[in-house]
Order: sequence, then C-alpha cells, then structure tokens
Amino acid sequence: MSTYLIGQKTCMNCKTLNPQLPLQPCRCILGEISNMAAHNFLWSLTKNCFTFGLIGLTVSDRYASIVPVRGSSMSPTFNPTTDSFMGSLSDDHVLMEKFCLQKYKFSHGDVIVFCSPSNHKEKHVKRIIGLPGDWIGTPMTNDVVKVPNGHCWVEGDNPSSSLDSRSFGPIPLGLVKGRVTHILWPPQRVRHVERKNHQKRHSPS
Amino acid sequence: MGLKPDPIIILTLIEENAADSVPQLTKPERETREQTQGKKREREMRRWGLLAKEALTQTLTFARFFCLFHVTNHYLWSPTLVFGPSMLPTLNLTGDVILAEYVSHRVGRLGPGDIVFVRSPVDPNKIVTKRIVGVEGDRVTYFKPRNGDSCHTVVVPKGHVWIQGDNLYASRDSRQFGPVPYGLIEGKAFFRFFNGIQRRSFMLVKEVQHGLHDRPVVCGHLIALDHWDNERCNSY
Repeated sequence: MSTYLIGQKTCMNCKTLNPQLPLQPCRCILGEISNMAAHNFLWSLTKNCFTFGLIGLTVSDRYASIVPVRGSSMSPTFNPTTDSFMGSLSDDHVLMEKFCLQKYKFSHGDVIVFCSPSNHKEKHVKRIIGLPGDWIGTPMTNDVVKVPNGHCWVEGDNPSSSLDSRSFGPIPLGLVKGRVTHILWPPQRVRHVERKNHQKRHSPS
Repeated sequence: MGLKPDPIIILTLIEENAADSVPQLTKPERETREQTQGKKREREMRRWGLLAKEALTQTLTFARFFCLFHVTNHYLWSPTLVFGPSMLPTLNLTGDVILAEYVSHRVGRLGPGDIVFVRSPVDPNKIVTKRIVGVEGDRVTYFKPRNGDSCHTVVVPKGHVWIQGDNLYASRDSRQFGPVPYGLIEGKAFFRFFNGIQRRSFMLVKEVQHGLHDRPVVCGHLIALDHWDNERCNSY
C-alpha cells in the first residue's frame, strides 16, 4: 500500500514533497481511499436496495400484498364511512393473498381482487356470489343466469353503489388477482374478513 | 518444506491454547472456575453467532437468485413449450420451444397479428396460444367451419381482444367463447428456438428437457397447454 521509501520525504504517487512522510500516508492516498470507500458504500447501498426491491416484488407477486380499497361499493365491510376530508388516508388497507391462484379454487362469499374486464389497468374488490355452474337470479330483469365454466359472479356488499356482475356479467376466473383475508388499516378496524353467503344464489341440486 | 504456515493462524492457535491453559499455569488463584466457564460460553456464543451469520448470508444469496429468477420469468421473458393443432402451420403439432416475452402486454403494444399466450376463459389453469385478430373497436368477421359455414360479424367491445388460432378447423378460440378481456393476456411469443420436438406424453417432454443440458430451456418454465392426444383432437 505504501508508495514511499523509508526516509524519503517525496511521495512516489503524487510526486510532491510531504514533510509528514514516512510516518503518515500522503494525502493523495488518503483521498483515494476515501473515494473508494464512498464508492463502495454507494455501490453496496444500490445493491441492497435492488435486492430488497426484488424480494419485495417477488413476495407481493407470489404470496401476499397490501392494497388500499377505494370507494364505498363494499360498505360496511370496507370503508364504512365516506370521509372525503381525509381522502386516501382513511381508506381501508387490506391483505390480499395469492395462494388461491395456484389452483384457482374459490368458495362462495370470498372477497376477491380482480382486473376490470373493460379496463385491464383497474382493479376492483368484490365478493364472489356464484361459482361455475350456479344459477343467479337478477331481480331487475327477472332473469336467471347460469354462470359459465371458468367464470364467477361477483357483487359488492353495497348494491346501491356497486359496479359489478349485474352490469358486466360473469367474469373469467383468470382475471382474479388475489383474495382478501384481513383488514390491516386503520388500526381500530383490524380484523379477519369473513365469508358471507347470499340468498340470490341457487346451487345446482 | 515448501509450505509456510500463515503467521496469523499460528498466532490464533497460540492465543486459544494459551487461553485454555492460563488457569493452570500463570494465574491459578485469580482465574476462578466460573470465569473460565464464562469465557468458554462466550467463545461458543461467538461461534454460533458466526454460524448464524453464515446461514443468513447463504439464505440471502438463495433468496436473491430465486427472486431474480421469478422476476425474469414474469416480467421479462421465458422459454415456453407449446403444442397442439390449433396453430398449424405456424407452430408444430408436437411441440415448439418459444421465447415468450412479458413486456409488450404491460405497455399495451399488442396488435392484430401477434401470437399471444392467453389464460383460457373456460379453464383458468390452462394457457392457450392464439393469434390476435382484432382489438377493441374492430369489426371482426369470422366463420365456424363445422357450423354450416355461416359468416358472422362482431364488434370487439372495449377492453377485449378477439383471438383465433391459425388452424381454423381445429381451434377453440373466440369463435366459441367470445372476445377475451385484455387482462387475461399473459405474454407474447416472439422467437422460436426449436422446431418439432417429438412428444407422446407430458412425461416424455420432461425427459427431453433434461437431456438438453446446454440449451436455455433447461431452466425455463413449462406452461402446460391443453393436453392433446390422438383421441381428443376432434374436440378442437
């Protein structure tokens, strides 16, 4: 490491006379060391950020992630009070698990997050009312609809302000991105999200 | 004779041995039994601490590798095996290894003519390979070869695409299950590695994969498409 000979007062690296040599290393070397240290620190910081970003992305893709719920289509389960003053701070944040996507097995009453069929960038949160093979009765048109294979019928808990299968029909199960299991925020509403059964559904007998 | 022991190792050995033998030799009155045991415990704890640190480093390395693998396979590209009669003559009956990329459908640069991988609306556990014929707003004219050759015209609704296999006579696609929401598209095919892999059953495909050690498909992920065999090709 040292670039000076014992007894000589000229630094071999930067070729300047330095009376402190050879007891203390020349300032040019100290500068290089500190540059290298800063560079190493920045590099290791970047590497750590990248690693944790990757790990976070993998975990949220494969296992579970936290999503905010906006709107009142699922009151009183989520967002029971519409507080326009606080805005997004008072939104319910829920835990969405992705283990159900291994086999796409759902049960009646599960709350799911799915991509909207008319705009793949939007995600909606609704409850599954009907699974493939069920007959759903729509009181509006007095129709009975059979849920086709690979699809499901979703509805919000607050029927008056919910855009769901009553408007866009049954949705393919491939659009489902996760199942909601717990509410994590606000702290006073932390609880498990229960399955609720609906009377509209007629199972195949 | 050529091996010079590292002085640092020698010093450590001497230090450890000295610590072990100190109670008997130099300070027999001051070093009590408890202090010796305390030092031993300290050394053991240090060893366990080093072991734990080593385990954590290895786990982090493994996690980093696994996450990189997952991100590449879901957000960049991955080799995929496709088989079936519905995309003849473009893709082979018995199997093709195709590089699927997952960037185009996220930025929305998919258009008519692209071969895409779509999660089947009929069975969400299966992924099918078809070609996009029309996007939202397009007017698509199609005919069903087995249903009296009648022509139908349909306008593709917002947020949906119309997909068809190249082999119209043996393909179950949008003509049967209607336009498909864009959210079901999983990826786009853009490169073909191999041509015509022989397969008789899914298990045979696994053997072929293991034999190709120097090919990139060994660590790719396989998407199981609609199982095809001689008896059931009529259902397509």
